[in-house]
Amino acid sequence: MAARQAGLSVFDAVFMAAVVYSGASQFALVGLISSGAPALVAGVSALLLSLRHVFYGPVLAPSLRRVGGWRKAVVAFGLTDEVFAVALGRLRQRPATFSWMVGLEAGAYVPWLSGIAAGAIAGDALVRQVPLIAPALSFALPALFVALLATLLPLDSGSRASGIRLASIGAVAVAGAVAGVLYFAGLENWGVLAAGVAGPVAGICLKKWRANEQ
Amino acid sequence: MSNDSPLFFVLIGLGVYLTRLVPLLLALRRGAGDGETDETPGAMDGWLGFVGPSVIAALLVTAVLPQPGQALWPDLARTGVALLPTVAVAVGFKNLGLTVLVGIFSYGLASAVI
Repeated sequence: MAARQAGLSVFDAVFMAAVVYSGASQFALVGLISSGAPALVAGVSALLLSLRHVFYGPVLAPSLRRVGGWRKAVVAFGLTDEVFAVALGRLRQRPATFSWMVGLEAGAYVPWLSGIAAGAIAGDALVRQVPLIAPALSFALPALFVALLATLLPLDSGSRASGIRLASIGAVAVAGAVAGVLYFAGLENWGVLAAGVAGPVAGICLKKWRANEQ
Repeated sequence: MSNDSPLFFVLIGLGVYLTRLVPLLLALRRGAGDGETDETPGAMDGWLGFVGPSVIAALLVTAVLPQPGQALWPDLARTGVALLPTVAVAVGFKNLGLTVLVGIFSYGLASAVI
C-alpha cells in the first residue's frame, strides 16, 4: 500500500520485496523513492539498515554446521529478523537440518510476498472505491516507520537497567533532530545518512556516560 | 540509474544478501561452531545497534514534515494528532499491520477535522 502511494507499480512493489527481502530496507527505499532521493542515497540507507544482519549468521553458525555446500547460500537468503528469532529459540535444543531451515524460511517468505501483493492490489481497489481515503493513505509510510521503531527500540526493563534504553532513545532523538534540521535546510536527501552517523555517535556517548554513572 | 528500476532493486537485494551470507560463511569457516555461543555479539549493543533505529527515525521525520510550499502548522497538527494513537498502538501491540491501519484511520479523521 505504501509502495503504491510512492508511485511504484504492483509489479515493482512485489519484485522489490522478492529480491531485497528485508522489511526495514524496503520501507526505507519506498520512503526515499517517494521523496525523490538519488539512487546512491537510497541504496546506502537501505544497506545501512541491513547491517544488523551481519550478526545473524555467526550467532546461528553453531547450529548450522550440518548444512553444507550450496545449501548455506540458500539458507543465508532467508535469514530475516523473524527467522533468526525463531531459529535461535529452536536451535538451542538441536542442530538445524537444511530442510527445517528452508521450511522455516519459506513459511516467512511466501506470506511476506503474498501480503505485499495483496496490500498493493487492495490499496488500489480501496482508493477506487473510496477516493476520499487517498489522502489518509499517505500516512501509511509514517505509520510503518513508527511500527518499525517500536520493534527496534529496546523498551524492556532489562534494557532500562543497562542504560541501552536511554542510549537508544537519545540516538533516535538526535537522529530525528539532525534529519529535521537538514530537511528545513533543503538537504533532506542527506538527512538520513547524516542521522545514520549522528544517532549512533549520540547513543554510544550516552551509553558510556550511563556506564560511568553506574 | 533510476532509484525505482528493477536493476537497482537487484543490486540492493544483492547487498542485503551479502550482509547475511558473508558473515555466516566466515563464521562456519573459522569454526565458530565450536563455541556454542548463543549470545548476540557485544558489538550489537554498540554502533550497529543504534544504526537501525536512527535511520528509521530520520525517515519518519522526513516523511511527516510538510513539503516546501505546504502550510506548515495545519499539516503538523494533523500529523501530530494522528501520531498519538499510532505510537500508542505500535508500542502496545508491536503489530505492523494494526499500526498502519490505525495510522491511516487516525490521519483520515484528523484531516477531516483540522
